[in-house]
Formats: sequence, structure tokens, C-alpha cells
Amino acid sequence: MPFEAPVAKEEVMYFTRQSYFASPVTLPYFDNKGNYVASLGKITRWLADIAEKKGVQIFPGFSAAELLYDNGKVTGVRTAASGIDKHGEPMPNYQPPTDVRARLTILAEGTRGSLTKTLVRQFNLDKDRNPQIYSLGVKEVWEIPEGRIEPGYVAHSMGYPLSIDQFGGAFIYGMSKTVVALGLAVGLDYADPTFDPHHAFQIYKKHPFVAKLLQGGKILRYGAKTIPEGGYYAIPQLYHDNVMIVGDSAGLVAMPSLKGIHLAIYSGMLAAKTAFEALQKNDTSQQQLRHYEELFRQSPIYKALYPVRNFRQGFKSNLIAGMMQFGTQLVTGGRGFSLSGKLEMAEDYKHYHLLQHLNGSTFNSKYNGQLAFDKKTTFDKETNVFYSGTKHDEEQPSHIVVPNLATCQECIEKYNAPCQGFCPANVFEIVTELKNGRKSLVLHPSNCVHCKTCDIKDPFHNVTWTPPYGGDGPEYVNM
Amino acid sequence: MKQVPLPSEMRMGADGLMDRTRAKSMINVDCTFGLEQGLEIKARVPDAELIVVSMGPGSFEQSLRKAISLGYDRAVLLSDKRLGGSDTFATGLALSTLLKTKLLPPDSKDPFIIFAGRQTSDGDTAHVPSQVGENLDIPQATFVEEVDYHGDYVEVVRMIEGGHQRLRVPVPCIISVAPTAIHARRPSLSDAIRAREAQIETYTLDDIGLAPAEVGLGGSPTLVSKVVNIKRSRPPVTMLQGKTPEALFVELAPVFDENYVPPSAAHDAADQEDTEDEDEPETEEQKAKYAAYPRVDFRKGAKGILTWIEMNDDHVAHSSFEILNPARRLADELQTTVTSVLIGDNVTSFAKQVIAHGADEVIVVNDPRLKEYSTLPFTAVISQIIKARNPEIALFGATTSGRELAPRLGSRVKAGVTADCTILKIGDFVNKKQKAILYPCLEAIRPTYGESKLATIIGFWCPQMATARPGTFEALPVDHSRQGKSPNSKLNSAQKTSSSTSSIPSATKAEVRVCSAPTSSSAGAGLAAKSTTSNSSKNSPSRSKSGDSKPTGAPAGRPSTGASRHIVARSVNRAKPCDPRCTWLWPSPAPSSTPAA
Repeated sequence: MPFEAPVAKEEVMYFTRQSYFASPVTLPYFDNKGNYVASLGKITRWLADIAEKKGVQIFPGFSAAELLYDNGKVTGVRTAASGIDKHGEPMPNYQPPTDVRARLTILAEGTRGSLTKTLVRQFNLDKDRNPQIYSLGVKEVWEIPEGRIEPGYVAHSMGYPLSIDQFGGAFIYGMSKTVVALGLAVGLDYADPTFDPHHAFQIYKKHPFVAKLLQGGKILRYGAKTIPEGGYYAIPQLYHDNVMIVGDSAGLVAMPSLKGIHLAIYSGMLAAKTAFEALQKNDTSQQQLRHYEELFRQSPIYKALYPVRNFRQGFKSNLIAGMMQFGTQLVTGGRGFSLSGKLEMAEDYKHYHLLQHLNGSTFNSKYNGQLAFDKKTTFDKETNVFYSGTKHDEEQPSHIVVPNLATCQECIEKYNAPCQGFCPANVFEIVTELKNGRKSLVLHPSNCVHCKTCDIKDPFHNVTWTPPYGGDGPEYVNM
Repeated sequence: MKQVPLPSEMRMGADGLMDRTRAKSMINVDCTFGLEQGLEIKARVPDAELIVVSMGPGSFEQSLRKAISLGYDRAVLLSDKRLGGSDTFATGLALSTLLKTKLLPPDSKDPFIIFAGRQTSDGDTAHVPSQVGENLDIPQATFVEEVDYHGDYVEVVRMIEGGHQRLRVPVPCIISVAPTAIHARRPSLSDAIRAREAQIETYTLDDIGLAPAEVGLGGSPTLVSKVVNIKRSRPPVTMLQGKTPEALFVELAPVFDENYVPPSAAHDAADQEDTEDEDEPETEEQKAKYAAYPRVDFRKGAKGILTWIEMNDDHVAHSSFEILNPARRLADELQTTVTSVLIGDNVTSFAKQVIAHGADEVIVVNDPRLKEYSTLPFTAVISQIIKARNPEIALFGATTSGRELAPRLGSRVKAGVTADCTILKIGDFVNKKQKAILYPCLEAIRPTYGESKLATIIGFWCPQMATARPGTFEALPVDHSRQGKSPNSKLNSAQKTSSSTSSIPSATKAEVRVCSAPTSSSAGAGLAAKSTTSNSSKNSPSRSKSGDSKPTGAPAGRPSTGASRHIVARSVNRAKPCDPRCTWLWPSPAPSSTPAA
């Protein structure tokens, strides 16, 4: 197994501006004894190799652009056409899409799946569920001088630079004696339109504890990813006629322990089992595929998710209240304060406060003096984008679609365009015309690192993230 | 198509070792543009069969499969250990033998077009397309940016110095495509699935009936005798800082006064240092042993230096004057003469200039059909001169024309060509097997591997041919008092040759009437107008303007040979001839290392 190191030492800390204190007890679900620090990129490559040896054909480098339907039932996917210019016109090197027809399609698109989104909408699969909510994780891998960290060192921290009403925290994982991964994950239900997860992470790196660790080292990689953390109540119905949903697309992440990969793998195994039976019986109807959900309910996934079904909702207002809620949930078997047993949660983009209501107490004003980056330990977004290795064919329609530019004007007035902040790759830029001071949006889709935050957090839901040409995107090595 | 190593993609990993998680090779970038042209034609002629052909080790399979995933029907690989060490001459021979024996229709009823990339990123010569064309005896067009397929001919737009040529090339033909043409499409999933299962047809030398002696090191007229690292290939980058333009100017002004050290000069230094601490230092003993070897003159009577004088519109291309500088110096060292070949229509008057720039003799070939440069007739003319004169060295400016003419000639007269040289000198070669010192070798030195190294290429087949980058050498000071052979005698020899040009038509088949007579500008404008209407969307503005500038050659007086016609139109983008040394900021090597003759 391509693991980096067994977990050797664990710490949970609370950061203040200049200092920190360690939690004297290991929090429930935070125990990682027996677990390993690993690079997901390496593990997926390793798994792919095993699958291919077993006869599974994998075709990387093609993006699924849309679901194919026949009589209202999914019958496969269509790949994206290529060779289309910025204006949507086919060029001489146009390559038409390929239709992949299948009796059974399993959607494994990762977080905020573009096809999953349309499928859920099409069949109302999220009926009576909470909307899915997300965190954005921003991460860097560093090479540091030997002697500062042990392989398998795991540290989680809360607090600085996040405010008390924000859900989120930072992590440091020792991958080897000289390589460390660190990052900051922030709930996207924050209210401050000027908040910038990337900048918050850079400020975090200036904290004495982190700065000491990184001093004299150098950045190797940068990346960002959203995490579906709505929990049990945000999981849509995971099947319909001829189709199933697995992994992050299904929202299988256990928040208290911050883990989802093992659940994703498990869901894939259950879906495979269901598919095998269905194909043998030559019945891929939803009645047959319901078996996937039955297996799910008997599986460790359910056991991991159900008791913490209200965990994330409890942190809606602030960290202390969340901790208290979590305490009550622990003793009530997950029910917590709620009467129905289910705490509600609104979609992430609905939480913004109008700038005028914030009276200047914003992230930007609070950290005004800290937003200069020295390009040694802290970086601006463009520099970080370089370290993500992201690449896109420049000659293609923007894969980030902003349907209504008039809305952007309203957004600039009310919220000063939060897209500038939430995007960790500077895809969205607001430019001001020198002549008349008019502000407008300029897109840099080739910067995109495919975290899909824009699809989630735009205050007017005015951004749709679609897959660009297959194979385009960040190149995550050792991430 | 050729597979090449990834350029500079190799990065050091955290462990200090090479990061090998990436694929280590890729399809040569220029070749992808060639592949795309095939796919373009297939889109218009659906029953055309697309075959991708490569020569190399078995690992090339991944690139051949990639080509299938783009839409190619078949993939063919010529793979044989005995091909190792083949230079472009031998590669051209091997590939064309493969095509002849295994792929091309024997009855010539099925028309075919061969597309190739302009050049490779690892070899950089741009020779192989010309050499395959010569070995297959088909017309060629190189450095092509646009291709328009018309069934029995293709109309192409070809880069030339300072402009473009529009050529009509009869099918069958070979076309090398520049990386300014249409980008290669992406694979389609359906073709990617097909590619996974596809059979790669692999042949060995035995399969194609080619003797191992004709390829590999033995069949190659050139060999790499030495490679040294370039210590400093370009000036260091300095970031000037200043808040106002005035402050910046104060910083910038002294930079103008600094002397720029050209790469060639840097090499001379590097050369001396590197040979000191070479991996295999020659011991005194060995040196003594080698010194005792007999010195062998390998030239077998070949004598003299030949250069080609390229006409650019109504003046001599500056690169042709530049090449006379090393030619002069080499000739003085070898105690021989420089003969220049001047081909065109009514160009005798330029011979004086050529002599003033350092030539001893100018062979002038005048013919209205030779007004405009075209590969086949020019190859025919120069190869006849080479056969008659038997020169030991032949030098060409590395313009787009020189870079296709030289390799085609090389394959015709069985000589090796070194492309894009920056240094030319005479040296000895210790042949340890033969236990002899071969002299006097032309050491053709050129940057290679992304300009990171300087390779010294030598060869023992005469003439030893080389092309030199424009701007590398400084033209010698003009000396009008120089006496070459009297113009009369030149005219004589010109007449002699031009009488032999009567044999060009038969020798060049399809391209007999390649060069049209001087024409009225309306004909040229008409052609240019056609290019703007048919390709208006992708024509660069500069090219669209070509109709307004001065088209100088176009198909008036059209011969009646139909498909065998080869129309030449020329559009000039720049008003002035390109003189690289005018552009100060570009680090084109200023010629200081070349001692004056």
C-alpha cells in the first residue's frame, strides 16, 4: 500500500493570535491510532492499477458532459466535444463527443458532481433532505529541513485565524521526515462576503507555531478541494433507474472524524455488489437498485454517519455552541436538542450578510495588515496556482459559466463580489475601468483548480461549474 | 511522427531524485500538427486511410496509440536495434524504404500525401521530410502553415524569409507542417477505446529488405564527435527596479553599453574548459599513441567550398552573404577556393556583390523558370554542379529554403548535412578502429537539446554539408576591389550550367514549370485575395495584407501541364529584409568569434 507513515503522534490545539494551547483530552472521533498518513493521489493511482489488472478499463482524460436519457431513464453519458473556440464555434480540429451507452451508470464525480447535480434535480432525489453543504479545504505540501517533524505526526487546530462564528480548522500531517502537508478547511456557511479561505490559510502560516515549522523550507504543491459535510441528512437518494451515486458525489463524509475516503471506497464496493446482482438478474430498475441503500444501511458507512447526523448543523452559529450541541448529541445518540431528531441547515450561499450590515468588521479589515505575501512562506493566489500544476487548453469555452452579468453588478454593490475571495485560484477578478470607475467581472478559467466553490458559494447562485476538456486541470502530485 | 522526451518536464522530487511519476515522453509537438493535417483531410475525404508511421524503439507504441485515439486508422513502427545511430540521411532512407515496401500502393493508382512535423524537439534538423521526399522521388513542401486539399493537388502556404509562398503541389507529395498551423485535436473516447485494442504493425530491417550497413552508424554520413554543455547560453535576466520611467532609464542605460557575449564565444571558453575535465581524459600515453597514427586525407580528391546564394525578391538574402564569411575562412585554411552558386532569372549582375563579400567564383544560372525558389529544380541545378565540381564542403544559409534544399541535396548526392550550425571549423578526427587520423574534417557545431548543449558533427562523405543560422556570422566587409574570376569566365560557366539546365525538366518531373515568369502584380493580388476570402477567419492580419504589398511572382504565362503545375505566389510581410542584428534585444548571437578571413 502506498502509505506514507503510520500515525505516530496526535495533537488537537486551539490557536490564538500568537500562541496556542493543546486540548488535554483527545476529542471523541479524533483518535487516529492505527491509521496512516497517505497521499490520496498515490492511493487512487495504486487502486487504478489493481483494477486494470483485474480487467477494468479506465479511460482518463475524458470529461462526461451530460447524462443520456431514454424514456426518462438514464442510459449513459456523453463526453464533452473538443476543438471549440472561446465563443463556442467549432474549429477545424473539432472532435465530436462520444456517447457511452450503458445499462447501468455509476456516478463517481467527486465533490459537487456536475452530472449528479442534474440527476438529483431531475428526479427530486433530495426530497425531504437537508441541502448539501460544504467546506473548502486549501492545502500545501512542503519540503522542510529534517528534524522538525516525525513521519505520522498529526495535528488539528481550531481558532486563529478563523473567527468564533466560523466552522473550520487547520491540519498538519507529517508525510516523511522532510515532507509535510498542511491546510485549512473552512465551512462555506460563513457570512462575511470579504472572507477569503486562501488568504486565511496564508495568515495561518504566519502563526508562530506554523512559521517555525516551515522556516527555510519550500512549497512543493498547492491545491484546493471542497468537502461535502452535510452528513447523513444531506445524502440524496443514491439510486434511480439504471443509475447509482457513490463517494463524495453522494456526500459520504463523517465530519467529526474528518474522514470520507474509506466511506467512498466502501460505497463503491456496495454499488459494485448491487450492480453485479442487477446485471445478473438483468434488472437495473430502481426497485432492484434499492438494494444499494439496504446494503448501505447495514454497512459501516451508516454506522459512521448516523450517530453524528446532526453534528455539522450544530456549528451553524458558533464554535462554542457547536461544541455544546455536540456534547448533547453524544449523550443522546445523535439526536441533540432537536425535537424531530433532525437539525435543519440552509444552503451555503444563503448565509451572506450585506456589507452595510457588517459595519466594517470584516475579514478584510481585521487582517488588513496581514495580506502581504512574501512569496517564501506565504503566497498570492497566482503563485499558488502555479504550484497546483493546473493546465487548461486556452482555446475552449469558459468552463465556468456566469449566466447573468447584470446580477454581477448587484452582487458588486451589495457584497463587493465575494467570488474574489472564495475562489482559491483567482478565477474571478473584478476590474475597474479607469475612465468611469465602473466595475465588471473578468474570468480566468484556466487558473481553475476544480474545487467548485464558485458553484456552491456564489450569493446569487449565478455560477455554474462545468467540466473543461478532459485531462485539463490541476496536477496533484503527492497530494 | 516521432516520440521525443518531455522537454524540461523532468523535475526534482522531494527526495532529490528525478520525478518519474510523469510520462517521460510525448509526441513531438511539430508532429502533432502534421497528424492534424491528415485528420483534416480525412474529415473531407472519409474513405481516406490514415496511417501513422514512426521509426524508433518499441516504447514509441504509446505515441502511436495516441495517434489512433486521435482518429488514425493504422499505426506502423519500424523498429530495429540496428537502426541505432542513424542520422537524418539514414532515417530518411529507412523510412522511405518502409513506405515503398510496405505501405505505398505499388501501382501508384491510389494517391497519397505524407504529412510530417516541421522538425523534432530533440534533433531540430527539419531534414527528414526532405530526405523521405527525395528517396521517394516526390515533390515536397516544408514549413507549411496552411493546407488546402483539392484532390489531385494541394495548395499550401509555406513560410519563407519575410513572408509566405503559396504553392500548388501535385499529389503524391510530402508536406512538413509548422507548429503555427492548426493545433492537433484531442482524442475522442471512441477512438481511445479503439486505440487500446489496436494492433501496432511492427517491421524490422529484414522485413523491408534494407541492408543493416545502409543504416545505423555505418549508413550515416554524419556522426556526433563531441557534446559539451553550454555554460551560459543567454545573458542573465536582470530585473530593473525603479518607480518612475526616469528612474528606470537610469538603470537601463548602462545595460546598453555592456558588451553582449554571443553563445558561440561562450562556447569557445566552455570548450576549452570542458575538454580539460572530460569524463575520459586522454592519458599522455594514449595521446602519444594517437599521434603516431598515420594522417589520412579522406576527401578522395574533393576540393573547394560551395555556397548557395539565395535570392530574396530582387536582392541577395543577407544570410547568403553571412555564410561567405566562414566559407572564406575555411577556404583560406584549406588553401582552396569559394565557389558560389547564384540561381535566378537575370541575376548575373549580383555576382559582383557576391565576390565583394568573399567568393572567388560565382556560377550564375539564369532561367525565367528559376526566378522563384522551388526545391526540385534548385536541387537539380545544384546537384549537377556538385557532381561537376566535386567540392569538399557545401554551405547554405539556414533559411526555410536552405533548410529544405540542403537535406534534399544531401540525399541526392549522398552527403551528410548538419543543420543550423553556429560554429564551423576544421579539425582532425582520431579513428581508433582504423587507427588513423582523418583530416581535414569540417567540424559543424550546433546547439542542441533545447540549446543546453553544443554538439560537434562531422562526416567523411563529401561534400560535407552544413546550414548556418542567419545572424550567426557577420558578413565580411564589402571589398569591391576583390577580383574573383572575371565575370566573363563566370558567365561562361553559367552558360555551361544553364545549358545543362535544359535537363532540369526531365530530372524534376512534376515541378518542371515550378518557377513562373515575372508577372503582373494583378495575378499575385488575385491569389492573395483568394487567400483572404477563403481563410479570412484564421488568416493573420499580416498575411491578409499581402494583397496590398508587392507580390512579385505569380502564375502568369501558365503552362498547360495541368496537375503537374506548381504555382508560386509570394507575399512579403516585411518591407525590409530581415536583418537579425537590427533587433538588439533579441539575443541572437552577435558574430564576434569568427576571425576575419
